Amino acid sequence: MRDRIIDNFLKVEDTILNGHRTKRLPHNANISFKYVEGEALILRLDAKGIYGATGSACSTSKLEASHVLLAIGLQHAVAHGSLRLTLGRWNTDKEVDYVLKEVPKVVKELRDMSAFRKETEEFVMNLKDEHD
Amino acid sequence: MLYSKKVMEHFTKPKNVGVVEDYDGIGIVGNPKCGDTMEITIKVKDDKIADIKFRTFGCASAIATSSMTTVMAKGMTIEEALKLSRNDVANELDGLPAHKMHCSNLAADALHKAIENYQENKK
Repeated sequence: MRDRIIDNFLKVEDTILNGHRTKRLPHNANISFKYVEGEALILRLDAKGIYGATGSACSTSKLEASHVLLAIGLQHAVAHGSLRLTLGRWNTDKEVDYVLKEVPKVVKELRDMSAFRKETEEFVMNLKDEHD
Repeated sequence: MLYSKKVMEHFTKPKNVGVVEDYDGIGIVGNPKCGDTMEITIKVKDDKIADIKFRTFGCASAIATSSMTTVMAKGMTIEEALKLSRNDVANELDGLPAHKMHCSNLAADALHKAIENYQENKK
């Protein structure tokens, strides 16, 4: 089930698998969707009954991205779009089907309204500290 | 984290998403810390903001404040829009969690930058 989630999410454009393909916990899928922000993603998934987690800075009160994702070399803006789904003993294939159908839809919605796209990548990656 | 009902409304059904056709001004700002980025485009007629749209990369609060900023700014004169502050936006959304205030800061900044851009284009 985990592999089905990972394999299918990686078919979505501009996605990155966080962590090793096989040397990982058996129930853990962690993927970054570029150009999407994690908190917005999990809140919109939450509304559809899908409960995930993110390493996005926005979801924490400190506004710091997951130190683990940063440590494995992700840039802030990419760590921003991480989605972690963990499976339990009672999850079913049918539920995975639902996740595989809904997550790409929400990702597309958020990408369509995102100011961070391929064209603005340079701008976003080179933001200077002028607000803090 | 608790968002107000209004924040959730503007997050789930944001208003004025996209890019104004043949816009007169564009403003893009980003926060390097969290990576949030906002873009606002405006169309100006008779010194008033006739049309305004946004695209945002960011959390629920960033999207909601962008949406609310466009709703508030639409129809304002340039002078009024330049005075629109992050507090005005946050208040209109019935408040934001304290650590999310910077999100609304971005939306107002993007609007002001779009206006500056419009004024430069006009010269």
